[in-house]
Amino acid sequence: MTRVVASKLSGAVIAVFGASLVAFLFLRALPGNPARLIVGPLATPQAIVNQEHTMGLNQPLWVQYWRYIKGIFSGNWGFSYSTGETVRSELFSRLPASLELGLYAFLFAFVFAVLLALIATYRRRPWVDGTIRAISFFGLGTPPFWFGLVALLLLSQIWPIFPGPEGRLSLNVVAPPTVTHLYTVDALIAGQWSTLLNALWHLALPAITLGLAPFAFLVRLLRANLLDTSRENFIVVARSKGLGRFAAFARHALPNAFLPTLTAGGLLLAQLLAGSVLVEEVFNWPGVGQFVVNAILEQDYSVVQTFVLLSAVAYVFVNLVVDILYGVVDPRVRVPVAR
Amino acid sequence: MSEAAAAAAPVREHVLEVRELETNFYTAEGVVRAVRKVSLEIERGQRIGVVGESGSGKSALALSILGLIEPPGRVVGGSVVLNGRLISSFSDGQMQKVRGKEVSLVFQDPMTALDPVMSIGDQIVEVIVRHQPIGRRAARRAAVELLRDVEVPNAERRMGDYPHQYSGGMRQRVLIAIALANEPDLVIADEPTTALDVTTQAQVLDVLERLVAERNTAVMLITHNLGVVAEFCDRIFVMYAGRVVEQADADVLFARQTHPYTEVLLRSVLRADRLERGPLPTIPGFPPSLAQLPAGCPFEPRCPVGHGRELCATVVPEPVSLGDPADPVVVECHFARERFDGDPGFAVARPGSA
Repeated sequence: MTRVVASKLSGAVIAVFGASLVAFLFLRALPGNPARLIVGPLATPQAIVNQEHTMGLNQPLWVQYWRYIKGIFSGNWGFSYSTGETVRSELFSRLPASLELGLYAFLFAFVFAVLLALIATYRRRPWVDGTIRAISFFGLGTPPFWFGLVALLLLSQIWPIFPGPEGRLSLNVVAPPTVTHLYTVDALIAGQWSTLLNALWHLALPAITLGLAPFAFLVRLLRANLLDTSRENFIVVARSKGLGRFAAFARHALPNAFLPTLTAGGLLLAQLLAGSVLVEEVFNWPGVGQFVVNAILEQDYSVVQTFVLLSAVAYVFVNLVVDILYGVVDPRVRVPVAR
Repeated sequence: MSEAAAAAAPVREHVLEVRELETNFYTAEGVVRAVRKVSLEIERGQRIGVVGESGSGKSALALSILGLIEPPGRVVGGSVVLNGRLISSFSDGQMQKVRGKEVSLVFQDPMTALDPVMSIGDQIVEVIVRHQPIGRRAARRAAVELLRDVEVPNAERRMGDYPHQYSGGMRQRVLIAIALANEPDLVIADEPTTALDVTTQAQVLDVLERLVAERNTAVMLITHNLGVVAEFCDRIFVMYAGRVVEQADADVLFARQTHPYTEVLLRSVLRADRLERGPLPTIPGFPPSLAQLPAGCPFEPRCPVGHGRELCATVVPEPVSLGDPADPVVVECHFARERFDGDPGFAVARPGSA
């Protein structure tokens, strides 16, 4: 087992290294010059050269790359030219909001996808199945920003059930004592139930909006897989042993149908964790989305490089976990351990 | 009935009695009449063979008896009596207590009949704890014992293995172990050897034969392999187009086939000791579509005796009982009596002799 994990881990390190290199090179291959952007349109050529010099942009690429990697490991992630703050503080103040939103969006997508796919395939009523398929088509075909706006209009403006686009907590609610930076978890740890409810109440609409497309995708995938596995011979055998329809379904069809969903779910989770510009914008969510988009437009090298690197780490980590989980659920892919 | 007569006739207790069972599948192409008023009975410890080509309704018959026909199929008529109880009127909940305990299934195709992500041991334990009031530990011991019974080597160690780590023959043994786990009165074995090579087939059949003999279990063996039937079964039911067209004791049937279909079916079996040069013997034509059955005898279009006769083409033959009334030969053919008596006018022409 340790050998398997070690081999997967070394693959993960290579993937992260590759991502850092690609982000680094792409940024420098783009037309434009960050030094010129910083000193402004009226600066003299000498001022631009001086600025390039301070930023180290006149040095060979491999030296720049080396400084960037060294910085990452020594905790010096550079400065954001556009805000003047360190990249670390900028990202760390915004990432937890995006992470929390992504996690809840994924939770919503996964739980409801499993539930609805189960209902659609277990209760073989055509109208139930049809309704669920219609929901899934809607989810896949609806732009999230539009869905978010309509949800806000209906469920916050017309019927004020959910809060408006006011961020992670109501204005009069104080953030819980910081442990994980995720408000729901921190509130739970501190035992502040009203804060927890307030945080969840604020998360509901953005999380559903962000999770809608992944939810729709997972429903379709899981429904198709469940239909396939429920027609397998081993289901007939399970029934011939005296198992009820539901027991045969839950114990034999579901675990088999779940395998491809696990892979897809991992990719979706990683994607959701990286945040979403449009949904964060619609709900005024203080996440990384808008910040990073600005950084890309301003050619803010350090910010973009670090964000790409962190996303890569998240992707690779989630997939690593999925790989290991896969080995637990599916005996066929378990790599034989040397005896 | 006098006491003497009652004593003279041995008591024949039927494990299973199927009466006029009818199963339809409602498909887009029309109503497929897979089982058409089939009647049969199995005595305690008796082994019957149900023989027929693919699509003759054999598997549908098995699933109908177990109450496992899924939509778009439905059992539309007839009755099934198991151990004196009318199980065809049972709810699914009631049937769950019967399946795997009083009657069990050895499924065809061992490659797909086991759950790939559950260990072999758990799949055997599952059927034991479903029907016996014992703990998991005792059930595991029983499962190991069952694996030994079906001659899986290193039974204890192989409990934790998964189906992909077993060979086809070993998986089929596991399926037999599952079917026999609760010592049922009847085992329905649906093509238990089809997917296996000949040597493995023989080994698996030996295991099945020994175990059912030890437990006096009745067996309904569904197959298209007449060789298997000849070795294994006491009585044979030949199915064609959803009907039992001939039933007879095995020795009687192999000596004389009264239905022309049985005769040509038997003749198309290859035998190593009788190989002749020339084309392989086949039955011309195809079985009729069960959605569009011919007006008369379903075998008429392919029948070497009845093809072209107006009677055969227009009138469905009624079953005729012949021979020993205790174990009659029952045949659905207009010329059953003539053929049973060996009338040469109704014999199937031998290739080369015509």
